[in-house]
Amino acid sequence: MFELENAKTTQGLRRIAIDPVSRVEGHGKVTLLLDEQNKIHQARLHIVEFRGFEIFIKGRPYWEVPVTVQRLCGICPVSHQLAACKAMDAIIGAKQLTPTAEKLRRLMHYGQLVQSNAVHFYHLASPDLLLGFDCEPTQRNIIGVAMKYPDIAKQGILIRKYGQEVIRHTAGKRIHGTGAIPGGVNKALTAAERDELKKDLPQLIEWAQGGVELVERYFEANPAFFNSFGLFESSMMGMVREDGALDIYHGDLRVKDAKGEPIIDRFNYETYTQVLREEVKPWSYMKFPYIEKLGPEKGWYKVGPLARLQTCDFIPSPLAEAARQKMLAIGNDQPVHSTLSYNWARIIEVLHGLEVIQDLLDDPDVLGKDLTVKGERQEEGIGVIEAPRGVLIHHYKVNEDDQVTMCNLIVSTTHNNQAMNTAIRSVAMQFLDGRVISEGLLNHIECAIRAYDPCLSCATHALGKMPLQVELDDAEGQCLSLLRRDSSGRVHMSDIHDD
Amino acid sequence: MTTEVLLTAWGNTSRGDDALGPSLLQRLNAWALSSGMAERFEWVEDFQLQIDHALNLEGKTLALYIDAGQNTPAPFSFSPISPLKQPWHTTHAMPPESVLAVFEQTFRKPPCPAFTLCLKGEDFGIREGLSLAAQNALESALVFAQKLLNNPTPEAWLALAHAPPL
Repeated sequence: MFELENAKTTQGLRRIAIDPVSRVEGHGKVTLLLDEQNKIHQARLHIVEFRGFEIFIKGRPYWEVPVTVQRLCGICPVSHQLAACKAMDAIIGAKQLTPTAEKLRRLMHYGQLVQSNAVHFYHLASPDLLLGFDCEPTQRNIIGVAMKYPDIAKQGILIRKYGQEVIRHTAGKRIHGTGAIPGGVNKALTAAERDELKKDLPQLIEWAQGGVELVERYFEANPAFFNSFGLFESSMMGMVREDGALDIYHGDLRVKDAKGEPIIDRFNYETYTQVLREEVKPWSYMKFPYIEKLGPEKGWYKVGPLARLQTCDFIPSPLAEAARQKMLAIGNDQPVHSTLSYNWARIIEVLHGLEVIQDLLDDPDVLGKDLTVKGERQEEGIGVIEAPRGVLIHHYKVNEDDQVTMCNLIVSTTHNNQAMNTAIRSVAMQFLDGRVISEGLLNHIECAIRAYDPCLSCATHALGKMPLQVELDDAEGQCLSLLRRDSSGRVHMSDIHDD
Repeated sequence: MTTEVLLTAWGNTSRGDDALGPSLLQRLNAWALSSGMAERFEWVEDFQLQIDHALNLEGKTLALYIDAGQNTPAPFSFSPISPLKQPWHTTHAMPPESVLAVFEQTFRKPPCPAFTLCLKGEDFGIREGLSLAAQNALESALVFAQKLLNNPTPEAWLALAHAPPL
């Protein structure tokens, strides 16, 4: 049993719900149970997991799946496309892609990492870093940043745009791309496209270094706050290549404990069903994955930028590795676990992604024309990739008529379910316990959630919008007052019951 | 030929009526191609609006944002929009007003006149294809949008925005 997961009693407690309302099915909310002194007795992140997409996939021909699954998420469609393609590589017996195909897929994937992390860092995280938590909430966003720091905001937009351009040139188009197919890719990169992508890279790398320095300065100005905000220790899982380097496209999975010691030094992701289990809890539709041999209470872990930068032995690009070493130094030989460090790790990954893209564009293989392979047909395929938010598992079975008969997806947000719940409890205890509830304090909880940037679309296997609604309820669940941030970002407050 | 008018639609074609925006854009594009008008416009389709969509506004004189709506007027609504400095708070969605605001603050100049065309959807569950009500909304909106594209000036669009939809 986790602390604050279940209150001993709900008698006499009030309930607060931070409720993202989705126009499509699938959404999440945070609920807090407080007593009359506003002492917290229970904190939970609920996500209504909607498994419809797995059913949607069943019966479809396998070659269609890499395109269809892109609709799972509007932010990282490429990750779903590539994870599905890796699984389908196994289905068609393509054990080893051609060098050109693998490098073009990597180019596409690192473009995805750059654009997604850039949106997160510059759009979601930097407002907290640049403007501070006490800033007027409506200004704590990319527009607030743009007003005060126009250069930073513009750099964020242009880095995101660049990542999208890498995707466009490798996937064929920015959305609904068909570049990656089972067995390889179907589009070669032209010399003109390569040269166009190379042109702006030095400038972008310089901007990403500026982003890293921004977080470093923020840490130096607020080390105590930075280290303590939403702090909790946990195991971590990430993908590493054979020599222990970070690899977000392909490798084994490694799990380390909270002290940085290996729990499983590496395992082949095709054996994930023997290593991982998913626990079901009555109060949440989203499952809680854990390492089977450790059990649910000790076996949970976090994934994503902060986890993978610490499960790997090194980042195989010099500027990002130097930045990683600086980040690790704040841990004094212990892993870094503070929630705000996710943002630090994320901008280091932007820098790494751009360095990798530069190396790939300098590699003559990316202009090759040998694009596909195939081998002996199989009935089952598992594809795993490091999506921007963490480990993404796609698992399919395909019948002799080429139709998908089984689909199982474990997305990054699901892996982080327990970690997000723990982060919320940590922040709730740190900033809300015993104090008057206000929008500013609730933003701290939102900030903890933002660090993981949960993809409710993926977690619910749906695509939705997430305006926020905060309810103050009594113990019986009756709404006493309502604070709602609508789809335009405006905040409305209303009393529901006079008594 | 310069494309001074931006047409942007977004939505997920696997989520039922969420596909209304892309569906209308595709129908409009086919019509504009057949009538030789397509090159007058910049056509943008995406899953969701994002900060970099502000870049598409550079050099434009007029912009139209097309989306599906829930609990919005049937069969569609058409109205002018302005930059809104209270934008979205996640990486997974952004309203068009915030895109305008990002442009304004980043480029330090006002965006071009912009409008939304919001088609009412009924069913946003996981499936392909539009509901019957959404198909009707699509047909109505297509006729209306053709009028817009035939006369792409802020004055003409503003006059249509102030008139009843049909």
